[in-house]
Amino acid sequence: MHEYEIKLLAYLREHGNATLEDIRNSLSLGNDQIVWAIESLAERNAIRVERTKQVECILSDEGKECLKEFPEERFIKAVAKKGRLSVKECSDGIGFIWAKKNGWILIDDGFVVLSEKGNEMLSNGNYGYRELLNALSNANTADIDSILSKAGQDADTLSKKRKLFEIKSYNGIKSVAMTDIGMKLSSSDSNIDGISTLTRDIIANGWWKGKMFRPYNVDAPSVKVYPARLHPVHEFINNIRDIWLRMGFIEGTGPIIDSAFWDFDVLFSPQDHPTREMQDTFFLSNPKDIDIDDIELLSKVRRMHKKAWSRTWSEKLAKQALLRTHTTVVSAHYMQKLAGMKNMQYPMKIFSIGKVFRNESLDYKHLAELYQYDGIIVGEGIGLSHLIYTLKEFYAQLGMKVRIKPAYFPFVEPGLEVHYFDKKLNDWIELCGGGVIRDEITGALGIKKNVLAWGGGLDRLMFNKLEIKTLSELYRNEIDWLRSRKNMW
Amino acid sequence: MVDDILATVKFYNDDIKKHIGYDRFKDLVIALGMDIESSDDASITIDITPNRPDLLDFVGFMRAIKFIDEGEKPREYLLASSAPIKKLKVTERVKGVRPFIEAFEVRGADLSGNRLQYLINFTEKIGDTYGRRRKKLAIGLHDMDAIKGNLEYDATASARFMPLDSELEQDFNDIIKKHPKGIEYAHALAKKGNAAKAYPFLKDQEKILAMVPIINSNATKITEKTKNLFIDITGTDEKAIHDVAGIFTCSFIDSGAKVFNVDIEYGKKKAAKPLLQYRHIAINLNKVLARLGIAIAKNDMPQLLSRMGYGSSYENGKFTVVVPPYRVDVLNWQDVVEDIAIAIGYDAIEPKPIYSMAHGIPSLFTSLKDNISNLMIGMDFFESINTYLTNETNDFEKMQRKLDANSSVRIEYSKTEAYSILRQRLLPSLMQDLSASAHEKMPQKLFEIGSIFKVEHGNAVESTALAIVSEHSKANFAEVKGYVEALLDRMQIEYSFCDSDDPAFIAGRCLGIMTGKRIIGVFGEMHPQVLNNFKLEEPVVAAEITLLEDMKYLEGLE
Repeated sequence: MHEYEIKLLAYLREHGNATLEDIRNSLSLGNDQIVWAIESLAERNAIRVERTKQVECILSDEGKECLKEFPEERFIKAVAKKGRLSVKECSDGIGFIWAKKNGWILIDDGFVVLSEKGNEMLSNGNYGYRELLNALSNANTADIDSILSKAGQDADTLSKKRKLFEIKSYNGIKSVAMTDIGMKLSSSDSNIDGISTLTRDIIANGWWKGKMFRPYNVDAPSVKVYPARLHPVHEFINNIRDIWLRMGFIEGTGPIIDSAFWDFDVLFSPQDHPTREMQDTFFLSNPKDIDIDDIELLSKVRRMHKKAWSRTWSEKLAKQALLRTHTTVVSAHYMQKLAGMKNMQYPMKIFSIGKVFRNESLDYKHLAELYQYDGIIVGEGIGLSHLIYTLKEFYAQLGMKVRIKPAYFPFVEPGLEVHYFDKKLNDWIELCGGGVIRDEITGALGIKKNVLAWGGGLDRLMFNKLEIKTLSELYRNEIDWLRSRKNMW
Repeated sequence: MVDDILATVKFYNDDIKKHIGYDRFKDLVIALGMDIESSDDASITIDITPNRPDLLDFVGFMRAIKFIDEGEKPREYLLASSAPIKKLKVTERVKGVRPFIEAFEVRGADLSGNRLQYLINFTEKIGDTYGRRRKKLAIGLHDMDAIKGNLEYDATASARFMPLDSELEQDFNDIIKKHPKGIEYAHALAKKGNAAKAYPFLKDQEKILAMVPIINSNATKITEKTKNLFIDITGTDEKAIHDVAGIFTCSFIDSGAKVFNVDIEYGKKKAAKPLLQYRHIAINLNKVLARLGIAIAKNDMPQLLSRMGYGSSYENGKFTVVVPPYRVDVLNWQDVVEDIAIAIGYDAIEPKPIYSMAHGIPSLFTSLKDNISNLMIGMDFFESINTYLTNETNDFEKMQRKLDANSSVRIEYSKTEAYSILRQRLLPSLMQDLSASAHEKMPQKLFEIGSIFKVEHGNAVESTALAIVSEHSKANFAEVKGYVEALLDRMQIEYSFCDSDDPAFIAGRCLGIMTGKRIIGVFGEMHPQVLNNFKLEEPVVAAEITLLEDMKYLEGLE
């Protein structure tokens, strides 16, 4: 129990019940402290509170100023000091308006001068409005009504027109009475002379020895704390990253702006494929093109397209600059880099996580920027069965049981998709696609080993963890959400 | 990986149940690599991958199901043995418009029940997907008995006929502009974005049969009662037309009809089309096993192959696979490997671990990001992530910064109006965030570590930057200077401060950050005009630092 509550209970133990007035006069506590103690004890049924309607006059900031001096009073003082003021100088002031309404000033040939009434006002200084405001601010509940009815129209002017005060009524505390629970509480806690706040002196000098500590109200509400943290999407990415790192993968990075050559052509995607239309992909107008420096790769890719897809293959289309549409393009860059390196330890395992872009009309379930994860394993003697093991292992670490089914992607053969059963949707949901990279592609990139590859969107995994239903919810930055969101792991 | 464009087909449960149990059918749809989009008591809708146009047809789909389910031996597809009955003359005028055509006759077809609907869907879906919305190829279906004499494939700037399901004659030029099909498929005849000047069409001795590839004539409309059909396939890709002719021919033969050649005349050249071609592909069993990572007994191979509709023979240690005419997706041995895996069943392939002592290595970039994030969180900043796509107003104007249009990475076309460039600076993103949360409790402290983009000497340059903002009634210069010094000190960056004239900040209340002679950042009190622009009502202090200029990607292998 808190010190204030102990004092209040001790007082009530003696007196049984008491009015708020009595308590105020008897205990050496401030009004706020007493009210807090009463509410806190009432909540625990230690006391019973009898309430009564209370009326209070609350002054606005302007009203508080007016207690000292109204603007019109200040205004006529200024006029008196100078003798007269030009109308242009003062016509828009509140002081001017009310001085004129009160008949304290006259306007004479474009100048303001004091009237007789004004001079009288200056000399005796008794302003009715100020006296009314003063009376209201000091009045208690019983008096307010009679003051208001006596003032009539004047009170309305000050509150409604001039917004100097407001009358507020509320349920105030009239009296309190001890309950049985309160009796028990107070008897178990009769020693109120214990240590309150633990200070440096008390600790250092050992003054606490042999003393009691006053118990606090440990049920009292606390100050809200918001621990600063990562954005949930990055927190989630870090967790996915950790899984791949634990499985022995090297983390890779690649450019966001790339050529259609790398994003599509190298990956065996035909040039007339629908995803290569402006409707789906963000092509750039600055820079418009990205040169393909590797002439040998260029001619190999040209040959592979001509053989498989069509007799024409356009270098101009391949050079178009774009925002990558998948992170598989990062895996393709690594394949080429690996082909040029000697004495590497195989199997080589590389993953990457990054943003990809789709030209979408934005709504709650379509965004133009999304995150994907991608991976490759390069080595000899590895095939579809090893890819299935790797992916099952990855999703098992996320607690997901999955099924593997055949699927088609132009750059793999055989291809697969990983699905998991979503109990809420009562349906199988695709998690990622993958397969063994075609010889045409590894051949062009100079790799003589098998390459297992896969890629998938992060959102689906995050939906599962964050209990979020739409994409736009996931990528929001509202500080309220960032501050209060729950842990996902 | 990018998901491919899928076509969906709808089959009726009653038709399926005539061939196979419904649950078994559903399992086999998945086993074949297709997806079930939806199903109810009456029908099932299936996603067909774009490599298998032969499965867009009910006959073709059930053929694949029966092979994998029963392992029945593949049949041989043959055209009717008589000489071609019809001739089709191709004029010079179609050359620059839509040069290629194949055609054939079907006799004794049965289009009763749902069969007519299946055939029309098949035709439409192939035109839309494989035919690239009829530009590459499109298929026309006609009632053979309504065709008089021989045919001609020609092109003209203007002609009139009565389109399908219409009661009025219309001119080609009106159809292309006003008819729903004309509007939908005008692109198929357009040349480099310009509207077509000549329209290809098909006619017999008396009348126009079709405005190709837009719409057929009402005169040769097919119905459930039609027994004999004339089918044309036109387009710009000769091989694709040949492939699709093969798919349709096999489908009609499987349904019990007879297919007859049509003689196509190109000037003096004549050719009977279609040709049904079987391809023979040699397969090295060891390569197959390596690709799949499993063991298969040699003796099991013929059965696995026939369950995917292939014929096969074994001679001198080598398998030769016979690919039927409808399997147009098979480019080489690798495509057959996938089918062998499907015949085994992906579920039946035993997962195998890869043994390796290699350990994981995080990238330098993410390690740096983690370190700085820890420092920022330690200073009570929340992380925010924003889009890279933005516009000039947010990135420059609202910040009072001058835009150099040549230095922005610019996108050509966006469906979302708010996107025109990639962000060149990071701070505007965080100002946006503060703007969106203006009504929330202060203080608000945010940071972001992310990519920024610019164009230098015609090349795109990607860099990584850090931005921080702190908004509250007492935010001032000394506060942000404290954050910046703490950061740079803990990161062990040798730095000095210099004057800054960045108009986003109040003059005399901001500093530039230098390492050596290079300016890497700026910090200070945000200018009240900038605060007004973002509709903020409390003071904001901010810092912006480029952490990695011109990212060096593809790390981690050295």
